[in-house]
Amino acid sequence: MTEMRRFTEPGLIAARELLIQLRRGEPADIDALLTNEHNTVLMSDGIDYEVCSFDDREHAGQYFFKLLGPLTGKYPDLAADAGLWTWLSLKWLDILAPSDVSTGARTIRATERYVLNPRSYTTYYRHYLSGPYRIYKAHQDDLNSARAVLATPVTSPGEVVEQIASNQEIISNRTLMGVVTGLYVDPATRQLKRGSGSSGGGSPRRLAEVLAQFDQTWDTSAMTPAEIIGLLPQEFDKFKA
Amino acid sequence: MATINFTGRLKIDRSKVHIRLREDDGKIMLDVLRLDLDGLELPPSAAVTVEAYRQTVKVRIPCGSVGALEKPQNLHITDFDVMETIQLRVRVVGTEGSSHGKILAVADHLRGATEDEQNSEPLLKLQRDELGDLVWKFGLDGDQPILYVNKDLQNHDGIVNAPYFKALILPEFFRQVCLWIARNLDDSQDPHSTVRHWLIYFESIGVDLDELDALEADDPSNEDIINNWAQAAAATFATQINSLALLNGTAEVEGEDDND
Repeated sequence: MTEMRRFTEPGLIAARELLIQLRRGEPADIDALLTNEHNTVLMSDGIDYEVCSFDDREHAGQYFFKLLGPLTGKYPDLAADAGLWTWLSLKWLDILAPSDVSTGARTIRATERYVLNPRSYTTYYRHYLSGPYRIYKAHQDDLNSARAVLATPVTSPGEVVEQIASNQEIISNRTLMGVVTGLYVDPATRQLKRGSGSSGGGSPRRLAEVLAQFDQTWDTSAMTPAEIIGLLPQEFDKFKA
Repeated sequence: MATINFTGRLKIDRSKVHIRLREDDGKIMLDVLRLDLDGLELPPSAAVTVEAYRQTVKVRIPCGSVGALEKPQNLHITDFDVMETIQLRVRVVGTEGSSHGKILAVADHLRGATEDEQNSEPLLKLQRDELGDLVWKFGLDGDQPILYVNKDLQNHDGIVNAPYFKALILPEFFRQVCLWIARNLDDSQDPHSTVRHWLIYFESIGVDLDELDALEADDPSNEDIINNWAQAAAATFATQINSLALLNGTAEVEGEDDND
């Protein structure tokens, strides 16, 4: 059995500072912070887990959905628990930002990838671990429809995730998620099609704009993905096949 | 009163919709208490749906048709973990002919306001400060809009309570609050944020919040939208406090205690 902890408010500040240190290439004791009694509180010592890598975001979402399931009774809003998700991202830092074998340096990406701010609508979905967890949890009954935002590696979510997961109207609408996946995911490989991360015509950014317009006029939740795909402008033809 | 926008959708008057969200023994419950579509001239067959949504989750609750409305109550909403920041909308959707599947009327960004949220501290805060020759100015204290009043103003209390102060200063202060709110909308998702409390107040006096939906990050045309919206919101506020009547009838209302 392994301890699961969460950062306190001072712990969240310390976590941000630690990431800054790592970004500068300075030494930092991650394990000490993860177990520091002042910066963390114990959530459970009865959960069996090991830090592991993930095939893709869907795998990560599924893993944490199962792992955290026993905690949801005591902590009902786990998806928004900044202390927990920040603690988990540092616990998984060897996976999320592995140290270079020769230099020991880590490449630390934007802070919101590791430190969750659930109140920031412009960044919350970018967290490497809670992002996939939220989507997996919301779409667990129909994961195929949400595959487009779960197919990429955890540490490189890509343009489809950036444009679609950031849009509440699309990410919460199973029909529209079916459209996104129908366009950008190859059903044979369950991977994103080539060109799906591009900008310009047929891009995820354009799709988000077009779907938002549709959603203002049509009750898209009551339509089928195929019906909506049929209404998309010509610029999306290259992805319809 | 219903209005028509460019999509052809009718706007459902928020005051005619009352949906309550509450917690009962740890469960999130929803009650549709009022849903009045009279006067909108919608086809009786059109389907009525309430949607509750929060971040990645959306739940649809069928409420019958315009001609046979249903108001579900004591409905256990299982898809949300917590009640905070859940928003609600009502949609009326055509079911026949060319309007099949089309949104005919909508009321969006409704909130199942709880008593706790309504009992927040006063939004309008005055503070005396060194302002040189300025009589007043808009400012921020943290995330709190403040109406700063010159500390050297003689008869401070008499002036800030005078009808002309309310009629002339408060609408402009309100407009500046609106500009600040529109540029800090991200904070509105936090139910305890000042932005959220101001938006609740806006909604309560009839300010049109749908305009804010059109705002897109980094879009330079936002400025025009924001300015126009703030101007319209200030006008709504002026109507709310009867600015013109306050000035025209100063003698009659002098000394009246107004909590706006």
